[in-house]
Amino acid sequence: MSILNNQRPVGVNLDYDSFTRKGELRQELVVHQKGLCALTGAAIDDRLGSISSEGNLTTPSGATLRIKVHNAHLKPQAECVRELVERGEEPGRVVGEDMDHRNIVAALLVEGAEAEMFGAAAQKDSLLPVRPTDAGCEARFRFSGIGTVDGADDRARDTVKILKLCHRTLAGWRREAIEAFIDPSMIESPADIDAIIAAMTTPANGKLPAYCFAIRQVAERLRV
Amino acid sequence: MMLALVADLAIKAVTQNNYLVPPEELGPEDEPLPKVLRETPGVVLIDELDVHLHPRWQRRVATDLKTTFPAIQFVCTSHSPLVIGEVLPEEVRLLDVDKAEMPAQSFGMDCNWIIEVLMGGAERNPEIKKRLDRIFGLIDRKELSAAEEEIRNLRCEMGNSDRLQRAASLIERVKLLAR
Repeated sequence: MSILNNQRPVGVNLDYDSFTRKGELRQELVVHQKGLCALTGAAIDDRLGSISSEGNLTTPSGATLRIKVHNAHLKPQAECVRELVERGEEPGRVVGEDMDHRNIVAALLVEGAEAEMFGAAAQKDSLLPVRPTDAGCEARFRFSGIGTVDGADDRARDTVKILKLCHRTLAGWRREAIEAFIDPSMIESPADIDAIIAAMTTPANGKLPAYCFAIRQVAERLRV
Repeated sequence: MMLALVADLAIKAVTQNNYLVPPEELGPEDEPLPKVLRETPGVVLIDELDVHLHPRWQRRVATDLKTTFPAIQFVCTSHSPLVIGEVLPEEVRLLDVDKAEMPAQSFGMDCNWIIEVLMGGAERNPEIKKRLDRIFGLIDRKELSAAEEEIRNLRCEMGNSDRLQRAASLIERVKLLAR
């Protein structure tokens, strides 16, 4: 009975929940984003591992970890639906921002315990004061050589808090990536720094290095 | 557990040493720590100080006991790196079958170091450690495809980690910068 009640009239399916090509969209987004999570900079392509059609990281025995690649809404779906209703329109019959490609990015989703969450999992239904699609987004965040990040203004600082961009896990991964590239024993001249910066901005085989924007910032500060 | 321990010690200190400060004579100088607790002497033995305590409490149990009962000497055993990391080396004795050694370092050291060096344990699953070491060996020998494959396999089994990220980024560096 509840199934019947939940069925919608024909044609009322123009919302993200009813969208049937989420997997294809995710793969397109991953390619478009050069293999990186739009919220954290983590690698979310084949560098991450074996990913199922549902986006889950899959063990050799077929089990899935609670780590996945996910289509994340920058403006949460619930907010998109609320706005439609507020305008007096019926969600599903009218296309809302939940189906707007500019509002959807591919992101790493680390589910599990609340304490483990950062990025897309931490955002939940919060609005992001700064979005990765905003012009000049990167310049509003300052990454340190030890993997931490701070916002350059209040909105960016709020974004760091909402997405937990300084989470121990994420900051640790970021630190390791920075230290791997910015190894003092490998930097002998300004040209070496320039080479690192170029590698962070030029995709190779359609991919950018994980946390490239953080590595580039740290490298640029070394050049000055 | 922690509250019960402190309450038990405090009750004993008060009931057995009330000559130090009769309750009716408690004054401002008894804040925040009553004189009876400050001055009650003694030796207390606690087996496995950390048992049943949340890690946050394990971090503070030794310091809290010492500051609450400054005239009592505590002799405790522990298998918690969190407890060891909160006490000075001269307060620690590493017990083995035929010896008791005082370490050079303990206070402020991280749990992994204490587990590996002082306690002879492994900071992570030994098989995983072996595979991580193999990955770094492959990178050193510039066998990058094999290293990438092993990173993918490990990430599928355990997710990402600091060491795995270091290895993955090292591979990216070698590929992009040829060094």
